[in-house]
Amino acid sequence: MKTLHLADVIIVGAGLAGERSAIEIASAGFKPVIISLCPARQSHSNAAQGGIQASLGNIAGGEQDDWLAHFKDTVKGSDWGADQNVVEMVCREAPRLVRELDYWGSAFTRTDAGKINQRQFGGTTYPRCAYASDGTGHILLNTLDSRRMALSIPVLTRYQALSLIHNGERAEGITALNMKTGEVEVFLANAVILATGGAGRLYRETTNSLISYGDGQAIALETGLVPLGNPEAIQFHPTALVPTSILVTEGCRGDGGVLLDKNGYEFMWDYSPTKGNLASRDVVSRSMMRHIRAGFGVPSPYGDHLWLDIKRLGEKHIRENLRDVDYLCRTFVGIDPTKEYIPVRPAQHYTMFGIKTNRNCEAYGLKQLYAVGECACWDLHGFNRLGGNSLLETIASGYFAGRDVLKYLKTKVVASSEAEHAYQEQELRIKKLCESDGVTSPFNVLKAIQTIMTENVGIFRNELDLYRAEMALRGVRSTIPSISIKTPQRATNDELSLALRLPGMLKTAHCTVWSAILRQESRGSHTREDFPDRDDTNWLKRTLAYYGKDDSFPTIEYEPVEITHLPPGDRGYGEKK
Amino acid sequence: MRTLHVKVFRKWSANEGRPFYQEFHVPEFERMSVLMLLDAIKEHWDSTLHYEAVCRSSICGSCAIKINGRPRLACKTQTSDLPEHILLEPLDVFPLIRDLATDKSVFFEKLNQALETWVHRKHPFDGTDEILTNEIANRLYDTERCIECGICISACPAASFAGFIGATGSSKGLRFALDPRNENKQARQKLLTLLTSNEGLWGCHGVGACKNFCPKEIPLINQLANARMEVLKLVFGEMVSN
Repeated sequence: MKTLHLADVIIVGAGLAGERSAIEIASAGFKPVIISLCPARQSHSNAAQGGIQASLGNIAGGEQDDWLAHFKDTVKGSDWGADQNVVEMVCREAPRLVRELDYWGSAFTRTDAGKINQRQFGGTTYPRCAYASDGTGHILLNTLDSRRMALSIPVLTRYQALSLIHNGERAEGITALNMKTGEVEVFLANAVILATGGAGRLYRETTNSLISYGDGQAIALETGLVPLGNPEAIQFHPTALVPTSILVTEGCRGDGGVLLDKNGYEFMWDYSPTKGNLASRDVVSRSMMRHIRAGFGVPSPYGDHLWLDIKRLGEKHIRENLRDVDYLCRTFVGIDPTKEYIPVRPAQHYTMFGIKTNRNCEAYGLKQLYAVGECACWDLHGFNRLGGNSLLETIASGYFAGRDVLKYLKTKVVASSEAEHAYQEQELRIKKLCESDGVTSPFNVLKAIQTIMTENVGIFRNELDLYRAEMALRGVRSTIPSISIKTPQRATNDELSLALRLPGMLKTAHCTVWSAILRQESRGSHTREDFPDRDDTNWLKRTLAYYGKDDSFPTIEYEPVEITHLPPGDRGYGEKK
Repeated sequence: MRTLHVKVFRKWSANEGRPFYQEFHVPEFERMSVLMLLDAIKEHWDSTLHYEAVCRSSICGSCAIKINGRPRLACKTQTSDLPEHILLEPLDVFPLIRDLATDKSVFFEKLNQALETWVHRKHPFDGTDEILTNEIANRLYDTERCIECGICISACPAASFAGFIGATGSSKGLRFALDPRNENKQARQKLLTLLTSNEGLWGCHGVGACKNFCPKEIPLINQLANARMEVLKLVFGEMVSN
């Protein structure tokens, strides 16, 4: 190998979760190194708009809020899929973690008394979501990146993680493509933290960024040792702009905006008499699609959609508290949301699934490997995440992982006997791709995966569609050996980067589809038309999907879901199906 | 719909290869952004074309390029607002990675380190609420809307040639001068000294290119004027309190 980097910890991804863990590690006097596909402040954490949940109890009507209320809302939201130990730990720590962000200089919007302000979000009992206008992710990323700089933690940009280096028991580092030079470089460390974000690019219509390929999930899965937790659990956000699928925050409805159909009718109360527009995201997305199917959608060249009305909130409120929504509507739809309705439709938004970890964020199957943020499943969200809990998860998991990993940092990093082999393996892959005279374009393979997932593994699922998807994915996989890139150049070659990640993406997609076929019930965002009810007798358990290194099929296991304070019951949304 | 005649700047890397312009003829479609135009070229005509883009919704700043000579975000610019002849080039000032991609991260890392754009606290975190007025919070938010796209630097003659920290540097500096939580006296002094120097707020020549091109529509020229006033107030205020 040509380039070898040594660090106490190597962190993959410079979004909120990666940076929060780096801060914890560096504050303890160790040297983490972060690698990232892009500069830190361009990470997709940036796109989170609405806010971060924490029971601060700062505003009128929310004084009674506490960790237990937050806990119950989160478990109900998860449709009892979440690990209640994790939920408790996170909800108890949330107020302190948010105040710490404030101490570090986050520009949270304030109450009249000068405390951190909170807004209502879907599926919550009290207004609990701390926010900075509707650019909360952007502000928090600035804050953490400023801490990172104060602590002189390096971020190496334009690196694509290719594989984990491990000895079968513990992680020893990673191989990564330096996209600027085209060289494969080796990073050895006492621990690896994956913080690569969601895998929204498995879908054609997603609110995710253009780099949310799920690289971390894929390289963990490809070890054959580390499972994905609940790969069938994927969230669709109710309000994505039509046609670009750019996110419009739930804060719009939290602040009093409503969904309307083609007749201007506020239909959500028909589907959720108790929560209406502020039911959990799975309920609202399903109800919207049902309403569209019933013929109440607004026809458009991009398919039927519904309206989001925020003009009723008034110009002042929109310009102050929903500025980005205002900006996005003017820029990408060409409408003024203070005067016109916003065209919206559900789109893929969040992967609750991810690299399965224990309560300390350490992965199943490999020691000294950690996963944090959206790429992980430890499991805070179960089968449906509440809005504002994702930002909380990035901060909380980064904190807990960063604290726990310290126990591995007492010794010097040792050379790994696996490193050379791992390096050669990736070199060979690249060489093969560059020399291939195949006929398959990586762009077409990506499109095929996205079409299969969007058309068959969406909000409503059934056995026939899922089997169709499973067969189609195997068809796509058979084309992988014939992938070729048009120019055999290694440096800054986006086609090569894509070609390298496709096999892993296919494995992830395969796990999602097969787990969805097996789970014969409806829970949270996993909606089976042929099994419309939740089935706690048979399915109160978590899917663990493995993909053996030489296998062509995932291996599915299950583990019990931890129930501590809240036994399974009714979610309280009164959802009508 | 029109056929767009697109000329794209190509160069292998900062040090290698000769620069040249390549022409593509691309059918336009409804609501096409320049980023979608680039995607179409990469997918159908030339997969080696390199440019950067992350969020595709004007919140990350990575796709800033020059479009018909003007620095703009590719994702935000609609082809329908452009003539059918379109010239695409990399941003000025920043080092070229390849074709349309430039590396802005080194510049911003240095800028942030020079200004020490983080709060310097006096006391350790004790877990309690801190009181801040919403007025200040909103002011801080305003200055933090910058997405580090580099457009104001690329457009500004003073920043490109004379070492001025630019509209973005001024906003960042003002942000940490205004924040009462940035309370360490020495750090504040250092920041105010930099801001009142010729590289700081007084390096602005009032050309206003930053405001014309800022894709986040931040009123930068007003912000710069306000910044000079507010920073002077702070400087005199802190002299008195000393």
